[in-house]
Amino acid sequence: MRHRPGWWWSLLRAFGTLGGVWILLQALPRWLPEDPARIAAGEWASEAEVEALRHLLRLDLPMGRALLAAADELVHGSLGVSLRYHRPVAEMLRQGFPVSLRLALLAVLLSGAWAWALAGTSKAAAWARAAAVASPVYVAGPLLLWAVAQHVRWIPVAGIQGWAAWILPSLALAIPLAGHQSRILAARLGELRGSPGLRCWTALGVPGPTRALKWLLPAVAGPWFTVVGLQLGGLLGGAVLTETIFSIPGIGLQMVNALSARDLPLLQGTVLLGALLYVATQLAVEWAGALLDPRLG
Amino acid sequence: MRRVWIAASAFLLLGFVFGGEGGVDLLHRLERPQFQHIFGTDEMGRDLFARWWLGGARALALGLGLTALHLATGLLGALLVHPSPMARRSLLAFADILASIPSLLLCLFLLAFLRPGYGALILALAIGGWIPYARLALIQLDALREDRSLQQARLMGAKRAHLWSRHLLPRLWPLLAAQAAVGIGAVVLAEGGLSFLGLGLPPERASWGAMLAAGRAFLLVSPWQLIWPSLGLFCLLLGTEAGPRRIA
Repeated sequence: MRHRPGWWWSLLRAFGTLGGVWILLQALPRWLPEDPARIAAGEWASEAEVEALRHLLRLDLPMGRALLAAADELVHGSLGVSLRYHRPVAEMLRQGFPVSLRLALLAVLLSGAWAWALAGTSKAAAWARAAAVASPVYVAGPLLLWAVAQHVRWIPVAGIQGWAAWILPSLALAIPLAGHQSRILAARLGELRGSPGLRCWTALGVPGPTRALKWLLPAVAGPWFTVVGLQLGGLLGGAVLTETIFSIPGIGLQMVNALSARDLPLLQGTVLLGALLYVATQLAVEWAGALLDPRLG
Repeated sequence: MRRVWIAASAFLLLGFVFGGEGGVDLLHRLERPQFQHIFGTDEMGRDLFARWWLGGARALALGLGLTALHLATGLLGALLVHPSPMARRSLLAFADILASIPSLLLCLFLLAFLRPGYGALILALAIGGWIPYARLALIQLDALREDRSLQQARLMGAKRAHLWSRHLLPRLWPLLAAQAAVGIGAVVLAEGGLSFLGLGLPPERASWGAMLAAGRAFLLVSPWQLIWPSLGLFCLLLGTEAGPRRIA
């Protein structure tokens, strides 16, 4: 039998990848055609101001020295200070993360339930799946706002005051997620439909619900969880568009604000956190898959 | 189905000819659909129909063009690194690094420091797009290494051009084409998201994403600017879902 590397190997790889992401985020602004310090300083900044900013962002140092200095900061738990808000980036991210986490979990839970409803065999279900995939959040979100804002008074259209405010964003975000999940579910269920195992259980007279719970669900769980994990990993670092549309103060909105101010440290921090959460989720899915199905371990 | 898709795409691409940015007319702002402006006008009094058509043509053209670019760069990268295990491992590691950043975040990070325009948009969307094609091509090239007919052709002294055109490309193509069918929709989706955030083309250039963002601001006054690009994007994405790949 072929030797399979253990869990420590995937952990090591994940750390390596994240290190790569960190270096890339430090290096990319230097490689672009425009000077990030000049852009961040604004059109009316004097040469001295630009120079000061360049010094602050360590763009005047050679790349190796700048990386060392940034690494030293990172080891001490700091991601630098935001140019616009004059607050430590790590502290801002700590504030935004619970909000983004909540939105991501709500949307993924909702889409999980929805996906099963769309996973049928009929032509209509297939079209419904395609329609869900074709409704990105920046289409569904404003349309939902338009439909709801005029008629339903008790649902706020922006912010996160009260539980009702979470309805629209998680709904809008869940539609395309559910579409993608249900496509996987439908494909897997279609494969299983004529399988000998299922026929055997039916022939033995096992009732439908038991069949579904004890046989179908475990057989579908692997690919389904993989997709859910991918989606969750992508969302944890901030659902940028959703948070913008519904003014939800999570990491995604912080990133958009950082962007308009060309706030390099905050941008680097948000992207790094996004990558970290994505990689961590992937790792968790991999390990959970190995626990569920020993063949993968 | 495929014919419908081609006809619809051709119609949309005609927007480059018949669509336009629409002239600013501040006396006729946010008007409802009527005879002169069949889709209505936006907050600057520009004709929504002309802008809708041109924006759609841009979205589709970017989708097609960037997918072709992704495919070409991915394939080229795979071919270049394939002979050497070292180069191949480094390319895959680099791909892993890029792929572990959620793609929208990576685009935003780049666009923050680029001058808005086609160049910036293409660079931001192209930086991560080649990855699936390169991975697929590498997998398939590995599988072909053991292939008998390829070995025999080589033993019989087939020229490199012959090997490429008759043995390698025909077997790489189906996988890459299937990925490209998914890729068009993904590019359209990403481009719409970026221009929704105001990071796509400059604001005077019509695009569906930017129209949606403006429509959101004038939601209660005039929903038309929201409705038309929504319908357009929905149909285009549904088409790229269902058209090339056939709905299950």
